[in-house]
Amino acid sequence: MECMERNETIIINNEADIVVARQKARELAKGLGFSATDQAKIATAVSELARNIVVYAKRGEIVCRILINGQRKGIEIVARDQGPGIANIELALTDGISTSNGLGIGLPGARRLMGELHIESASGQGTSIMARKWLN
Amino acid sequence: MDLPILQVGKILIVSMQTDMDDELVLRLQDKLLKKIQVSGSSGVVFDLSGVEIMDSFMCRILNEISQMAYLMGARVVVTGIQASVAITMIELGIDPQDIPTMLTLDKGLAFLTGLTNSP
Repeated sequence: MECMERNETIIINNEADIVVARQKARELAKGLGFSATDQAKIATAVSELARNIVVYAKRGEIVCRILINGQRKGIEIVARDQGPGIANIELALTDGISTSNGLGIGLPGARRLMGELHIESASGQGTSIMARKWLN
Repeated sequence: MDLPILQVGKILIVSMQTDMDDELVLRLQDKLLKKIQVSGSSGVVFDLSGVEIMDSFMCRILNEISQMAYLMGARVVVTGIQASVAITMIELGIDPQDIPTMLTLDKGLAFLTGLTNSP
């Protein structure tokens, strides 16, 4: 499997960076040839992940990567931080459960929008969330 | 930079932009509610035709602003949601709740005017 990469890292320090991250992701998605709807989905997923970083960890980063696997093209988003970590990953992926007065749909929503989402996290050990969406 | 709030008769219109950040939206909340008070407005249109990305935070805040406006006697209507945004919002898991939505600004204004004119 041959994967060519192109990385874009957006440092997340505050709420304004959420807008930067989602616009960058949307730009990359557009360049790859994703439809307008898929661009909206990807940008929204990035917005949810970036917002979680701001809310829980105060700072972190979003890395957007173009994936090319033979004829297949896609985008990968990794949201990572050194924050408090997620104590209960299964609960975090359940709709309607929020630990911050939010709607509780950010993580399960991001998974639905992207298609693939994996979480690596534990209490006190930071969080790394990887999501992928394939064009074909 | 603030979002302009336009007034047509007793109705206020806010034209939302894609690159709204949190601070902007919270300033809007403040500005809009003050304007409702000062103008005695009974209807507000949030026009989303310029919006390409709506996340759960934005939805929650707009919903809250609608509820605050309601407490002040003003009904909120949302207009112009783009197809790709509608698809994304539902897939994200947003519950459209009870905020009236119309396709165009025209229809939104007509709806609100109709509300004001009914006995």
